[in-house]
Amino acid sequence: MAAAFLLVVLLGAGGVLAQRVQPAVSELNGLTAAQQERLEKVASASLFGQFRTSLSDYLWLKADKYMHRGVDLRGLTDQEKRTNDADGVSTHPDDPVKMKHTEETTVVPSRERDWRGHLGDIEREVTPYMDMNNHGHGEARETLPLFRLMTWSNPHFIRGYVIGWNLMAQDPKHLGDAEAFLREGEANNPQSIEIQNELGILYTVRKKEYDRAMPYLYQAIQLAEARDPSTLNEDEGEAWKHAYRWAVLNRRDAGDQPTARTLAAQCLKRFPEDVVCTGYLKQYGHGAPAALKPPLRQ
Amino acid sequence: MSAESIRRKLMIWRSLAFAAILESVRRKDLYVAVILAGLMIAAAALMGKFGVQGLEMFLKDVTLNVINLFSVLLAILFAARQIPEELTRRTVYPLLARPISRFDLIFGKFLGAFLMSSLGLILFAAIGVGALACLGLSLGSIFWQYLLLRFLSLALICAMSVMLSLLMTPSATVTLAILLAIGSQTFSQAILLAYGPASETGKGLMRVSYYVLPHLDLFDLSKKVGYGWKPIDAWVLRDLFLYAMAYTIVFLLVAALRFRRQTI
Repeated sequence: MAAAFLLVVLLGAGGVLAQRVQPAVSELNGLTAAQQERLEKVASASLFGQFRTSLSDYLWLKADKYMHRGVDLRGLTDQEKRTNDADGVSTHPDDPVKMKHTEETTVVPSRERDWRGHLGDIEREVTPYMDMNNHGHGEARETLPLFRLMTWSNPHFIRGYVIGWNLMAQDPKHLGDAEAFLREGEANNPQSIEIQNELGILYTVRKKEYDRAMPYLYQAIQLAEARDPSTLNEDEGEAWKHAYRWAVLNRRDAGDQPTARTLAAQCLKRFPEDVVCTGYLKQYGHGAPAALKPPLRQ
Repeated sequence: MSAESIRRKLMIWRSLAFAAILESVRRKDLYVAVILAGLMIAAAALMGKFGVQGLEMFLKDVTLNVINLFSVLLAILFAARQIPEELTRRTVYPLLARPISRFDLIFGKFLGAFLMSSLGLILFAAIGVGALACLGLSLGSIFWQYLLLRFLSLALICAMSVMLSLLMTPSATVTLAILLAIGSQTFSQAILLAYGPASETGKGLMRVSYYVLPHLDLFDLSKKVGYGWKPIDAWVLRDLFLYAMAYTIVFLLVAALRFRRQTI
């Protein structure tokens, strides 16, 4: 309890300081070489940055555990990847939390894969353990404060904003809070491809404000295309692709098929295998494309 | 063994345990627990003022971890110094001049350390549960199973620390006992992870070390309590009781054998 209190005090202080510490350390996009050099020379800022990054990572791990009711997961070893001999972990298709599980397995193995016999059986009884194939994610309410704390402690923790708003938006009453949370993420991370994409999704899917969504989706695409593709991490690459997809679906649902066609064609130039854009062009491809004019934000 | 000699043994063990507890009280060991408890209460009160809506699982998780950590540390510190202090202060001579065997001394000291650390656990648990109750949170019936398993683990830890204290220096005893008690989960996970790619010889060695070293992580239900799981089956409690008793007896026998051969 004392530790919890200390943690909350540190988080509170960290949150205030985090906004003021310049330069910030984690997950920054687009630092110039001079900024980067300056950053590396400021030891105190670097230390504080490391602290808050560690804290947000710790809270992320906690939130991840809470969503899985305490079941510990780990990445696959090279051997497990090669032999495909590990218990599977996957999210149920109907689960509203967009949490991907690729190349993961449970820390405690299933009975079939456990060499420890009775001791293994006991461990499966005393620790949180269940078959994680097609699992759902726990009640969002329990994890929301952790997402709040992790983005206070590290305002550049983009994954926290992305998963956090999705959890909040599970309850339609909290859609406004989810939007405010994501907007805070945008203010703290204006160069984030993922957050621009998520804003586009929020307005397209949740609020059905199609025209309002488009500037964010365009912005996500432009931010990605201004970067060297080899420097994009996995999440940024996914967000880039999804921004194209949602932009196409947005225009389709808004009845603006010429723009949707242009976007789908552009999408296939970048991602030739994309099923959404291919599917769209198969269904709606006959017709003239439109010249793209990035819309202004409302 | 006659009823009279059993009664005599029980009296000796009780007296030695009581002396160990008195010594700990005289050394103000419990003050540490009381100060920490006070901090926990104050923290809980402050948390209540700030509001904890939605942080229930986090608070339970942290509270149970604090209870685990402090009770284990207290148990190791109590148990590890029982015999070495008797030896360095030479108070062991008047004790052994009485009709007390060396095994009696070991067992009495173990009993004292176990009772003292159990008291610490009860204190921490009461404070933890009280603080959570102040915030309107409850831990469910699985919490009693958690407590029972913690008592069993404390018996094992005390026996292990007493044994180690006869084999190595006090600081080495404390370090090794802490590593075995707190690091057992990491050890288990590391073996599970390394087992797959290991050679046949490596696998054999890992199996032996896995089965020989005590698995104190099996006595920790804190995650299930914190995440609101149902109580566990009775067979698990029964088997863990037998597991703890087996290790406790082995550790005490090794300690007694070592002490019997020790020149004092």
